[in-house]
Amino acid sequence: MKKNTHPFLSDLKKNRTKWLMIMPAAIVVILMCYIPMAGIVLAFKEFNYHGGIFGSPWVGFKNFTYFFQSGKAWTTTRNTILYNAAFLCVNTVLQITCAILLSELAGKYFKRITQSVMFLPYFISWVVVGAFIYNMFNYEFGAVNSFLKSVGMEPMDVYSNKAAWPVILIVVSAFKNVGYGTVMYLASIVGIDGEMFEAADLDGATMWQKIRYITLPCIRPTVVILFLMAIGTIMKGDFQMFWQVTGNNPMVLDVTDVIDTYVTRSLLNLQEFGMTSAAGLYQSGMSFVLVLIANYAVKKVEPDYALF
Amino acid sequence: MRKRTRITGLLMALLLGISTLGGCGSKPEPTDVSDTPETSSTSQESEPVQESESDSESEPESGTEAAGPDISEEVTLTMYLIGDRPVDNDEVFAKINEKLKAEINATIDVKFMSWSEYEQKYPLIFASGEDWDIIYTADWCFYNAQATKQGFWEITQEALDTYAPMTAQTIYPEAWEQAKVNGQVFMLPMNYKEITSYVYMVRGDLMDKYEIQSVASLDEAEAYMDAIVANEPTLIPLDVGSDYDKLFVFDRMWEKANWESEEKVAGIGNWQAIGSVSELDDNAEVKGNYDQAQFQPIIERLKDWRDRGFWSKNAVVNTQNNTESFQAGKSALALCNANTAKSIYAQMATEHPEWDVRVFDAQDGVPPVLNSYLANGMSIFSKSKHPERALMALDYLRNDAEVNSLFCYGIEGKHWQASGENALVSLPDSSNYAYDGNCNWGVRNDANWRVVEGGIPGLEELNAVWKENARSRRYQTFVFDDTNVKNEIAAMTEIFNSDYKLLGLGFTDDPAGDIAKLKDRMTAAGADTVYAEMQKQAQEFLKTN
Repeated sequence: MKKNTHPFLSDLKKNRTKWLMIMPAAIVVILMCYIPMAGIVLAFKEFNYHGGIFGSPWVGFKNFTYFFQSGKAWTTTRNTILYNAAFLCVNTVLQITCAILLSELAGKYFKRITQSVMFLPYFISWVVVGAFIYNMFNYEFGAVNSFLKSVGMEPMDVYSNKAAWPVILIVVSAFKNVGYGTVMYLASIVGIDGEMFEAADLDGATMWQKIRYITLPCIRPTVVILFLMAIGTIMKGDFQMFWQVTGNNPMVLDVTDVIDTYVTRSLLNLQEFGMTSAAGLYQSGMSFVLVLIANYAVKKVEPDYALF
Repeated sequence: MRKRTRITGLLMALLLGISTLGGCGSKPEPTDVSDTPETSSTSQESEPVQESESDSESEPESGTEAAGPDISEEVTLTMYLIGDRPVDNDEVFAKINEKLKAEINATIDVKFMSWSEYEQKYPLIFASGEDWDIIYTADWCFYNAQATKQGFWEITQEALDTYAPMTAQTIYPEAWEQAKVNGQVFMLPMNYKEITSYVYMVRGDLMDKYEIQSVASLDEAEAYMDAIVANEPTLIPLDVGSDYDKLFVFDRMWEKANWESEEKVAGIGNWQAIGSVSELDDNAEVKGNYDQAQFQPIIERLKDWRDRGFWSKNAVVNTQNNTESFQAGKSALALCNANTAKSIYAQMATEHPEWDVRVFDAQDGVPPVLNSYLANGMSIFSKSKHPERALMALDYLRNDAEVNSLFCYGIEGKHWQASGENALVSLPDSSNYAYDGNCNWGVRNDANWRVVEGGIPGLEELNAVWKENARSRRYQTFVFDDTNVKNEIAAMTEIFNSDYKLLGLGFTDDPAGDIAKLKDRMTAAGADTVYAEMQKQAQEFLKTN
């Protein structure tokens, strides 16, 4: 046997099936993430149509100043992180609760139907959800206000009420995402060894005790992994949702503007590609730091579950 | 073994980090990324090369082929217009293309972007890598912004002489001068003297019902809208609030207050920078609008109007502009410029005669603005594959009597009928191709112009009054060069689009407090630097003009 082949090549040969399996994912990542990354240089350039991304003149860090000058850096960063944290907590709790409830249900058909109905909103476009919201809450002809007026109460002015929007956004986010997560947790619950539950039954455990001491500990790895993955996107607002559901409403921007909507809005208003890329790069940088911190924290507490 | 896990771990970390990076950072980029190959190839030829290329193309060719430009290759030019596609657009352009095909071996394919989205779509098509050639532009419609970003093909005097000989002869010299940005021309401005004046379009049936005699001033409009709020719960009096008309009502009040002010205040520079100056002040001291004495009373009045329900409580998220709502029967009053009124009046009169639509002067004593020629024009995309042919096509659209009339009024005998040399009568089919309504404003030409006869009753008299009073503003042709204050302008535009537009629709519970807040934020964004720079440039401008 020849010993002089490169270890990487021999590994490639030995595990060729595994390499083949990872290839599609690797290609996607390279095409969609690595190559576009070259566009980051735009953040340091003054874009013109002729030079394009690479030919335009360099301007150093000048593009970054406007983001901080407009006083929006802090509000948008705060909103992005708080909203994502809220979505993460609310959605995870609801998803686990629904998954456990569904797993405890006996009727097979009822279970299936409930599961499908919960999953459906995941496929509804945010544009449509935005239209729902508008038709429910608009002041003059909205469903909610028509109802309030018909029972003789004062109509609500939702579109200029800052306090209403965090609640609306958290509710619609749950509406859309709970079904999807539920299925994931349900899968991990189904994967728990049935003998443990049988043994618990023999020992006379109640349903609460089974949930508390068997189900929850068993799905903990799933929870941690999904949580970690979500941390990675905590700086990334669900753009479609914030844009469509709020209708880009300037009245409530202070509480609904996340970095993504800010970047898009200023791109459309200013046509300054360099400046908006700078804001985007800031977001990516913060995101990267957050992932590292979160992973580090998990590693301290539960070294086995850390991503890397 | 242990070592390998560590390496895979690291790899994973890298991948994850990068995927997040790529995922987040790329929001504004996809459009750019798609044209990376193209830009990287064009990036080598810097601007001067490009220019000499167009020159060299005209010279050697005229040497080899004395007959004129080479038109042997058949091309299809894509032209972007703003607005909605008129029903008979394709029919009209089939006729235009027939002629263009015969004359210059080219045809035009028209694409539209609607008024509700043009502010967003317009800049994006320049960056999208899409292949197109001609676009409508104007001083209020991105001309300066795109010209300084090299979005337009430079029209040199030689190119004009070679490819657009008719235009070279007929274009008003002052129009050509006005179109210059840093000494270069990127637009063929309309060859037409125009004034902009605003009108109210009102439902006559409702006026009679509530015994309103006239809606020709802000006060009368107020009385009319009060009657609507009190008696017509299904109608929104004036459905403003879209991107296009968020500031329409504010502008009316602001113009009036400025005109009546002792200092004769007028806007200056980029409108997003909300700077204004007294026309009598030779020192050209620029102030923020919020610092003018008349600003606060106006915001208070707007707040009062909003509180009384003159426009929707959701106006800020409106996607339909007020004329569209008015046409759809959702609102009782429209505020628009006289040209818009002209182009929709006939259609409304045939579709809803029972509404008895009436048109009133909304200038309220303010002299209308004598537009600069740049208020309408046509430009060629800097990455167009056939800029010379595009220029030839524009030459025909502007100057050829037949093609120009087709574009401006539709098909003779179907949409209109000539009435003497300088007038026309609209035919019933003009609802499918409205007079002067297909974003043809950039090719308007006084030489071929026809006024519409029997249009809006009383409009001719109004027009005469407006023409008599029309004036150019002192800083009308002043172009602010924002190179030194780009970041400040960007930050201020953001505030303009949120805080200022909200005030302009009366969305405030505490006008004085919110104006102070606006001022603070504008100052923090660097407004004072911008105004100082504007003042400096305005003083230069006054020296040369």
